[in-house]
Amino acid sequence: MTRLTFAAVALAALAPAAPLLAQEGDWPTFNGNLAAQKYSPATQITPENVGDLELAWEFETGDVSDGSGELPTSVWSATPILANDTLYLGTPFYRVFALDPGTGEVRWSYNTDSTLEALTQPALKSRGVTYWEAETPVEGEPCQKRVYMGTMDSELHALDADTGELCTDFGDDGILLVNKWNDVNAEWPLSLLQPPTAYGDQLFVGWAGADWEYSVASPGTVFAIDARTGERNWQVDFIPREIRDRTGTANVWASMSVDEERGILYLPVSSPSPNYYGGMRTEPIELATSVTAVDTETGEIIWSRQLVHHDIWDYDTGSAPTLVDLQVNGETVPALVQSTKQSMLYVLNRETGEPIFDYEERPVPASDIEGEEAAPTQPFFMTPPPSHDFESYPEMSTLANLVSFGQCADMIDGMRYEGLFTPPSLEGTIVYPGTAGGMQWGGGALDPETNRYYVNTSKVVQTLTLIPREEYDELQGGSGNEQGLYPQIGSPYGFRLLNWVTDNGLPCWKPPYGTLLAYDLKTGEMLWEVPLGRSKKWGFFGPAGWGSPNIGAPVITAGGVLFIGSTMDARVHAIDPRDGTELWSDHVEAPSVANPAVYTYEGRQYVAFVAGGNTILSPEVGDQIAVYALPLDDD
Amino acid sequence: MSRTIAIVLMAGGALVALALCIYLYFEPLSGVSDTPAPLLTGFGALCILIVTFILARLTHGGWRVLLIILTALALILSAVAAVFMMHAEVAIALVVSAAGFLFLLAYQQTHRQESRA
Repeated sequence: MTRLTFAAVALAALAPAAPLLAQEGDWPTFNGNLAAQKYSPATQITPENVGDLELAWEFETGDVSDGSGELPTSVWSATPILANDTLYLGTPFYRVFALDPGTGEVRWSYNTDSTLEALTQPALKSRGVTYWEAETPVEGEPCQKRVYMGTMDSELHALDADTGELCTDFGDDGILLVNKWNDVNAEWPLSLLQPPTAYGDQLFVGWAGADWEYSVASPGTVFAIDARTGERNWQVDFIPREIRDRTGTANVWASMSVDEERGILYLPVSSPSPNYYGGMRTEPIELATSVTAVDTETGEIIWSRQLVHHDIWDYDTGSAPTLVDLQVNGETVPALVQSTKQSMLYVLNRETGEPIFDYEERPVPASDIEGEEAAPTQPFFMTPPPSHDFESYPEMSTLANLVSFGQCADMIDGMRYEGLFTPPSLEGTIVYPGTAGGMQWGGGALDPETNRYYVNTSKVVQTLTLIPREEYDELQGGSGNEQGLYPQIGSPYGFRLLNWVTDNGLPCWKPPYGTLLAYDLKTGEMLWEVPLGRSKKWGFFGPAGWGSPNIGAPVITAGGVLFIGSTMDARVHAIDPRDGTELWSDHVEAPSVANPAVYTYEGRQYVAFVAGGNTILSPEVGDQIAVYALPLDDD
Repeated sequence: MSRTIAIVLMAGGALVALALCIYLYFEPLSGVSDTPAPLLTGFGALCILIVTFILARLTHGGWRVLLIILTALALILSAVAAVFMMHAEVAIALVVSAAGFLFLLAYQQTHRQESRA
């Protein structure tokens, strides 16, 4: 763990306690507010009337591809942004739409004309746009309010939020090529799929790469750039300079959070490359797979806590930490909660990085791969309770094994499994939680009034097999798809990563496949866990009790309703946060694998879901935004 | 219950189920569009529709028994498929068709007994 204790203590002494609530009505950032709480103070929709919700309007962008034509598949996970009395949307074809929040009518649109090639990802992806406005706008001047759209090929476009015109004072005539700072091991462009985080007059920019592709790759960086000019103010690096010839990434590809009172930026840092072999990077990389706090003005690291030592499981820290002021024994404790793929929740003091609850470093299995040096211990945070069992994976489904004529048993025969953090192996390792989570990039939602935290999780079993280079090259020359063969070029091993499912797509393990959980962060207790959504195959749905693997996150409102899409069944749900009961649901065009947005416009509360799909969950893709509200008569 | 009403119920239920399945296959917001589920269920409904008219004319013989068994099977499987498709309206249409099927069998049984008498 890296700690600059003096800086942390100094900041703590200066910091006033302040509420971390979203501005009434708007949803101006990816997570609703910079504290990443996904909380709306709106109260119009309640558990009593949510059953009356109706589709207020919908809009289809046209930017969708199922991969059957010339274009790669699209994955659209954009959170709609409500600011400036306008709803802003970025699409996976890297276009921006400004819509009337009450009707969905297009006010303006902008096309980045980005290349529509899957340069770093298996699909065209976007999680939307960033909104920024000047604290002291100059009357009559354009671009005092801006919308930023990133692209797969590393361009960041700055647009006037009122007109959609490029802000020519930013970058080169309105476009900043972030890839110009990609000057070490540049195997691919720094893809700007996650919208930057705007705070003050700065944008904090992370990027996505392809750490399954190359062993040596661009070392992880986050750039702080001037929101007006695009000039780089500072950057923070996560890979030590002396080992950059042997590894890379440990980047920030997910959203970030900001403590506005303390001026601290919290970064979820991913694992280093290559994903599943660490023999070339055996030195400690302390900032990798961590939560790292940096000073927003200087980029100086205040503290960092590593969540997985020597990560060889791709357990990227993949969501913005949620900031919460915990009331513990009558005292206010500034904290953050980090949900993770490995299904642990890390509740830390956000001034120091120290755990709020007890944790322990437990011995974990050793690697039997030549050259690999798996960490002898890993940190286990058991309070709040993790969403997955760490001692065993779910039992095999007898039915699935029978109908697959024993394929389920054959798939894991002879594979290695000794609990969480069993290292990758040549004979194959059972991985649970799977490398896609656990809790995914959406993170959780926090009710700041009750300090209750809600988060969805997938319960997916995977198998991971390292394949010696020569053998891999005989199997196939290049990179496979997202769930198959991957080369880790430059390392002695490629790998095969598979879900433990039959050839017909039946899961080999017993349900549930995905759940929604509620925690009381004051005590660290799990309050309830319920199956979320329904699994779906060939158009047939599994029973409600089985749940569904899920991607995306919930949002919570002061009205006492939790909204979430996320599930394979392409339904959007309203849940009672008291006990997890489903209060309402509706079909949308494709799985809504984005965080919903809740906003109030002209006195009416709306809930917006983007239904874009993700082929990891289901083959259905979409281009729909579905916006719900109570009937006007009931308002 | 007249023979005509039985046939109308059986064929009508199957026809409605078939139409619904076609609609669901093409409706993007049905939750099952572009998937095999409505096609398979619709195919079942189509088979029931065709069989209705064959069964109405067959009053005896081994083929009739085989057809009755296959029809019952198609009705059950299609209705179960509709339930797992999460579209109760298709299942209800198939239940109506099943009712017509049972009425038709009852009518034919009664009619045969009367003929023998």
